[in-house]
Amino acid sequence: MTIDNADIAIVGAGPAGMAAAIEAKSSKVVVLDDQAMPGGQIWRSVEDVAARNDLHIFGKDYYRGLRFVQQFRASGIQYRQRARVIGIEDWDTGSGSDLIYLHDGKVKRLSAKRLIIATGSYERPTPFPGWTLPGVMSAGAAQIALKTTNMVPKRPFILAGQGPLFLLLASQLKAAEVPPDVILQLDDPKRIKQALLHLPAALTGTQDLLKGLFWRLKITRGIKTSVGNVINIEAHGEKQLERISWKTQNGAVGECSASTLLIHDGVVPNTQLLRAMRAPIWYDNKEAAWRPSLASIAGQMSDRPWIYAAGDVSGIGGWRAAIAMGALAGASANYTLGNGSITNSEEMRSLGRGKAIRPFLNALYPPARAFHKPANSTIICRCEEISAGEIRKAVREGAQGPNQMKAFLRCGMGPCQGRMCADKTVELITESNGAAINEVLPMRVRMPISPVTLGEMTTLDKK
Amino acid sequence: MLVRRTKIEPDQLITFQVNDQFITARSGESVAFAVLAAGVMPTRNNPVSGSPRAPYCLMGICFECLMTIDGVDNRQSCMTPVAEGMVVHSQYNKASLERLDDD
Ligand SMILES: Cc1cc2nc3c(=O)[nH]c(=O)nc-3n(C[C@H](O)[C@H](O)[C@H](O)COP(=O)(O)OP(=O)(O)OC[C@H]3O[C@@H](n4cnc5c(N)ncnc54)[C@H](O)[C@@H]3O)c2cc1C
Ligand code: FES
Repeated sequence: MTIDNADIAIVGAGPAGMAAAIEAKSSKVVVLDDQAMPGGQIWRSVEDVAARNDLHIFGKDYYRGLRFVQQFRASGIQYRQRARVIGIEDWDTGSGSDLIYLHDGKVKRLSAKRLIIATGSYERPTPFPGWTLPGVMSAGAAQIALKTTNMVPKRPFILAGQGPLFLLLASQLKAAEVPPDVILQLDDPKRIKQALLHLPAALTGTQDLLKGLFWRLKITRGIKTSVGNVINIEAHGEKQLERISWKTQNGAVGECSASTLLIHDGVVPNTQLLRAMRAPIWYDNKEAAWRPSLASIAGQMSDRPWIYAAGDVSGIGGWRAAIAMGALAGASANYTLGNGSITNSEEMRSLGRGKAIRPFLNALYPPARAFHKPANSTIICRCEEISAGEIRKAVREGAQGPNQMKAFLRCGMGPCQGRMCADKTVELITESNGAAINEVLPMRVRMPISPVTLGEMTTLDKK
Repeated sequence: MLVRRTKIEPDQLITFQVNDQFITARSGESVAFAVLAAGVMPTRNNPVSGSPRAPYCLMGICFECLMTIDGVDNRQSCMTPVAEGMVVHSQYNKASLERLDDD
């Protein structure tokens, strides 16, 4: 097998990855993405949804994606779908890297002078009693099922959460004529005071603000039971979810039977690949999430200038900012290869507008109270079934970081490699030993970042 | 749990095997979706405690959807497209998960 080459390799075909590719197309660009179609999270399956005449369910922003995906397809850029990047090897010369990826049942290598990592975000893990029961799913999972294959949650179903995506999903489920039976709002109404301080800045992103306000006002419409100010939620059942119960700030309690519980507490950058390549990441207290440390507005990594991080993976900014960042990264990568020039003043402005609402949202929706300081019996590491109590005990016995925690408890060493528990583990360590989160080294991740079989591994060409 | 909003179009219909039953799926969808819509539960047991599990994120993050697909263990069923005649098994009480060693 010959080694595949590219000038610029892009990981992720969401808004950021597609925008980067379009901007850099005078170089040889190859885009790898693990989904079946281009679009990323927001525009997942948009071509299929258009073909079955369901675009109206997902709203105007989704509709826009169709044109963008068509533009990407028409650009002639090499795009490989269902291609999952599992590792990165830097060249000895320090001027490029190889991507190792799984595609068609084989492990393949793509050698590139510039890399743009646009892996987006995933939902913040939400440990609460009973969250491992079959029937409990992330809210994003329900949106994915509706977009990709026209499935909806089985009734009775409950939507619990907070933030823009939670509000959006509620409105999409109503548009699909499957309103949740019960909505539990996990946000703290008192936060509006802090958030209002950021209102003037947010006003530059008026469209997003108005849209969000509209969803917020409509959330309870057409819903039989809607409960606000929920601070505690529990899922109950023997072999699968049967019932959920909750408690509000005012001490009111409630319960209902349930087949499906959808849960959402915002999104965090998907830094798995960056962690595996030992890229420097830092904890942003305002976003309550780990972000890569970048050296330029084009998203160049601080330790490896030929590698860029663009879009939500670099810090949550939404699709408008993702497009702008992707375009800036694409233009910069292209320019440093001697192809094209940088004329992106419009992108700079739209990056500013796209991100304008973030400080307001960060202040309004800090991580939900329902998952803060989990009870000792709550499972944190789903793969190895490790509880908050076990982690707290290990801290008392001397585990001062998530990497020592692995030696104590195997926490984060299951198949998800810490995606679901790494950040909560760090939080519990700092809760127990009083350190600041930034003083604790983040959990290390090893390549391959997704399991590969021995058979698949043998197909890889060594360098 | 999931249910289909519309019937599978006849030209999209696929049949495959999960444990000892045959279920239908829509061509192009991933195994996890078809399995959830068919009500197969759980799709695996946690290898440490044996507790029942099912797909959680449907986007390749949580690894709760691991199943045995065409004889290969620990496949992410949410990322694997169904195919006519595929044979899928729930992973019950298995401690065969490849565990990682720390470096
Ligand atoms: C579940 C979910 C649903 C969302 N839905 C909406 C929505 O409806 N509306 C909205 O405004 N915002 C939504 N968001 C926020 C949204 O992600 C951003 O607005 C926007 O999609 C960010 O664009 P991006 O290009 O940075 O990343 P993404 O759109 O997330 O694109 C990243 C792409 O990279 C792929 N990828 C990740 N890792 C790898 C790898 N190792 N190898 C290969 N490919 C990889 C992903 O599958 C994805 O296709 C959602 C977020 C999540 C997590
Ligand atoms: S359901 Fe989460 S990885 Fe498949």
